[in-house]
Amino acid sequence: MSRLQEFSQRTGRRVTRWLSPATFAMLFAAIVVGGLLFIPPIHGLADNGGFAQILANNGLYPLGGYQTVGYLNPQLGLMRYYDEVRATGWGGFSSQRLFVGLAIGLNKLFFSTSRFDLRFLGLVYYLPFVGAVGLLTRALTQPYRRIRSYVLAAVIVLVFADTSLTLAFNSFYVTPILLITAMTMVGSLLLLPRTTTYRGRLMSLYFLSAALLITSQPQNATLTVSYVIMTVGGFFVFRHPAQRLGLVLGLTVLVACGVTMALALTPQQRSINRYQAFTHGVLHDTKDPSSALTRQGVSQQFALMRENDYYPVNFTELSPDTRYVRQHLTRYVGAGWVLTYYVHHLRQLRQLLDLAAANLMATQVKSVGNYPPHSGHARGAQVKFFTLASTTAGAFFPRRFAFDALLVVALIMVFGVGAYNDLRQQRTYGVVRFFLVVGLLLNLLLVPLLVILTTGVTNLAQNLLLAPISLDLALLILVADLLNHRLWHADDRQVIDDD
Amino acid sequence: MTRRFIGLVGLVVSLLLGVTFLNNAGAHAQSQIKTQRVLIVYDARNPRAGGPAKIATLQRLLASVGVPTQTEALTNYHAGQLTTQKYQGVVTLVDWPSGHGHNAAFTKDRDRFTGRQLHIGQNLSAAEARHLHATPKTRYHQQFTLRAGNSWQLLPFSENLTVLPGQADHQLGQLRAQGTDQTTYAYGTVRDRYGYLPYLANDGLSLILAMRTVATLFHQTGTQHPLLTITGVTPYSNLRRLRQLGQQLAAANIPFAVSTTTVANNTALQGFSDFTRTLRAIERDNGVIFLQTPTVHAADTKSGNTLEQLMVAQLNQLGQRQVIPVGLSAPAYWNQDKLLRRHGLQRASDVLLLPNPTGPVYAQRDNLGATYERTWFGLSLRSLQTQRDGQLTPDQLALPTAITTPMPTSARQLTATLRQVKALPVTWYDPQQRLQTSLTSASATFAYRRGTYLLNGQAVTIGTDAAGVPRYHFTRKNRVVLGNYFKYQGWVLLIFFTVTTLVLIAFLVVGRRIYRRKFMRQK
Repeated sequence: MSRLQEFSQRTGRRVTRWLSPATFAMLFAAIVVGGLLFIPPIHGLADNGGFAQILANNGLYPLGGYQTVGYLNPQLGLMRYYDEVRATGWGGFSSQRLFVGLAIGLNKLFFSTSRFDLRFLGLVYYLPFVGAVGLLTRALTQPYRRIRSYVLAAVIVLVFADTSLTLAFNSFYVTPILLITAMTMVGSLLLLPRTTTYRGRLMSLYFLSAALLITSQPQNATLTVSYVIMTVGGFFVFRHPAQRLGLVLGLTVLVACGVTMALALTPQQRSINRYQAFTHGVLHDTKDPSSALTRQGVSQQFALMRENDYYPVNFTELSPDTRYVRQHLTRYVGAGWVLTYYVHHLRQLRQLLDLAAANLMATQVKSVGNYPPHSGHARGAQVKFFTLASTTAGAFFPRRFAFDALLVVALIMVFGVGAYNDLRQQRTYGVVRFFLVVGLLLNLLLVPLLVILTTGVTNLAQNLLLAPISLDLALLILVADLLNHRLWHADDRQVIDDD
Repeated sequence: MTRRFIGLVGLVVSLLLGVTFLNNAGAHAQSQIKTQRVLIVYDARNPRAGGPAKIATLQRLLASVGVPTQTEALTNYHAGQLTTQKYQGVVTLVDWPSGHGHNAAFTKDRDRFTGRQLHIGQNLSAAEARHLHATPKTRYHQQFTLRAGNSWQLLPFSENLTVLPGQADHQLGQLRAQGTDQTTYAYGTVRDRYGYLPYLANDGLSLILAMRTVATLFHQTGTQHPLLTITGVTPYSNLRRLRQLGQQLAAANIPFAVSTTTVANNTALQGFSDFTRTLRAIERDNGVIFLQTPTVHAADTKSGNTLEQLMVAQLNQLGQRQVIPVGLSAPAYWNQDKLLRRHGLQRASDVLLLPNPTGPVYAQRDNLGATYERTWFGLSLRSLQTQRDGQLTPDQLALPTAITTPMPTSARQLTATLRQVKALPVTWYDPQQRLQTSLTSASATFAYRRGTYLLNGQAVTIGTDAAGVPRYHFTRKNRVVLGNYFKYQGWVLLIFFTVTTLVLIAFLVVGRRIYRRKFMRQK
């Protein structure tokens, strides 16, 4: 019996020596996600009708038999000549183009110059994702290699390699960028105060990720605030004036990115956002909003557009993309108008925030299919594999915005204690972590509010995605630091840099 | 006696038989007109020269004549198609004369074809010219004036035009070249079962004459007054302006129609009751309502049920509020699409076909145009009023025509529209005197009998307020156990957290004091 125990201990020791929690997490995630994305029939997210412009911007076009909503398109056409539909200048710019461009390059190198295989895009997201999983696990488990470290690594994979998040890798949605960059930012900021040699590189990685995240979609422009707050922790780590100047420079770049994205919103995107913020937000009420509309200078007739989509699924009595609607509706109902409306109708705003909170953790996009056609699956069929974390959280997470707000207060208090203690003892870990968590939690509160103000409560699973990711990250930091006994104050063990 | 009786009976029987037989023969000829298609063959779509619009205009013209059509490109024509007796006529539409589109099988079959034939555009074959008893001439780089009675119109400059000399009895409209050459030519020519038009325009005097040419070719010699129609009305239009327009037209004794879309959802909102109130006011002002079909945004072969449900819901919501549409109005392409026709248009006796929008979205295109009891041809008022280029009084038209003017979007436009309409020396079609229509939705039948609205066969009184609208209780309150708890859950949690935090802080302070006192004493 004792020999058996000794054997298992020895094996355990050997395993832990050769396999760090980070490597374990990377392998685990690589196998799960790789299987999902690359082994036929491939999985992904189907076009919800909004891909046309993205495809055109990236020099791709739908091939014959192109499917929307129901099925995934594993292959697309590569444009050979100049295309006039392609947006030029800043209009419709997104950091997604870098990823798609890289994928197209790889595709041309290894596969074909006329056809694009979606899996190349999946691959371009897959590799940095596995890296981000490793970085995050390393930040949350090091320097320990205890059983609990491996459990933590498994939990990280369970949460972030969840199918609901990784399915989007095989698609043209921007959500993979949000996931990868958010994980990278947290990983690099948490490692920052615990290392001595990699600081510059980690900070650069942070800034790069933040810039990619902010520039991924125009809605993220406002979130620049959160990332600026996160960066503040850096000033406690870098003490040299030159280093601090570098930080200021980085911050300037982030703000510039935010401003650029706010300007990059095309008139069409603005119309779409305003229209849906109106029909899926302002009008989203059980009572008759007619008189309230008239009071704010919009014809009460437009209340009849309640729950209409900008791109109707089939038929519409008046297309939102017409001069008449632009002149009489979308011209007026900007974010300011919508905000004024909600200030006068706080009860409705609370209902909408609760609706957003109720859908917060349900990250799986239910409206589009996950399989390619002729794969033996029904139209719009959903993958069930590896969705434990998202389904559990979606089912059991409280559905009130007030709860989210309270959670934010409680977490800030908890991490505030750590920051206070570390500040008094001249340690930086708790302080950096505090600003990081404040930024993440600000996202949790800001994203639902912004979504309601700018795009309405439609397609919540995708529009809110940054909020659940931020919350998951904050909670994982809490759990990890509890397990590693450094929640209330930093420990003395630094990261072993050559680990 | 008996013999006389038998003779009498025999006479009656034979008379009856004869009458039945004759009736049958007549009905047969009639049904042939209604069921056998006219084949429209075009050489090229040629979008740069407005080809698709011309094809749509031709399809609409034939639908208004009351003949079903089939449209096909010249290259798709297969030998023997015409000669298998399936078609009652053929129209050759040449859109791209220099394109050298040629299909020998078609030319051969057309020469042997015994039905009616119409040729539009150039490349008139020798056989066709012979049937028309005329020698075609081609005129290059000239501008023509088109005349018919008192109406005339200066045509745009034409590169080349194949014209036939005027033939008194067989000619419709007269073309005269500008400049020194004062020879006149015919615009429309119809001789027996052969017809020719040098070109087809989508509006203006040319179209009115083309209408008459097509009608003459298919033996429709009657004339009709045009129906004034306000198009582009939606539930989001300025209702007060629509109301004013209706009142002023009624005051000027001008009967009119309104083509409007409607919604199927959100009908419990104030906006919908105001909208239907305005439509009822239109009905009381001698206006009739055409329900405009919805804009197709995306559709495929599976959209049939959705469209069916949408149309039925829209009609029922209107019907419940005493808004009884007399027919449907739709872009021309709806009549060329199997699904849109079947689930959209075919419920109506009266269909108003309007020009196509840019980028029409088909669900199940089959290019088989159907006919309805009356198919109104939508012709824009603006195209008839080119002040500089001519004058036109569209009073007596060959086919059921709706002269359309868009819903004014400003007070100034309203005045302008009213002035234009009143200035036109036209006797307008009065639905109250002539029109009889019917329209079915799934559970209800709407009908209009010369000013009387019928819902399921019962006359409907149209009042200011809607009568008999079922009251829906959308804001019904659900009584749930613990409902009050969930209502205040946020506050309860907030208070709970605050109290807990305060207690914890108190404990911290107390504990710290005890701890410090312990060390103080040991000192």
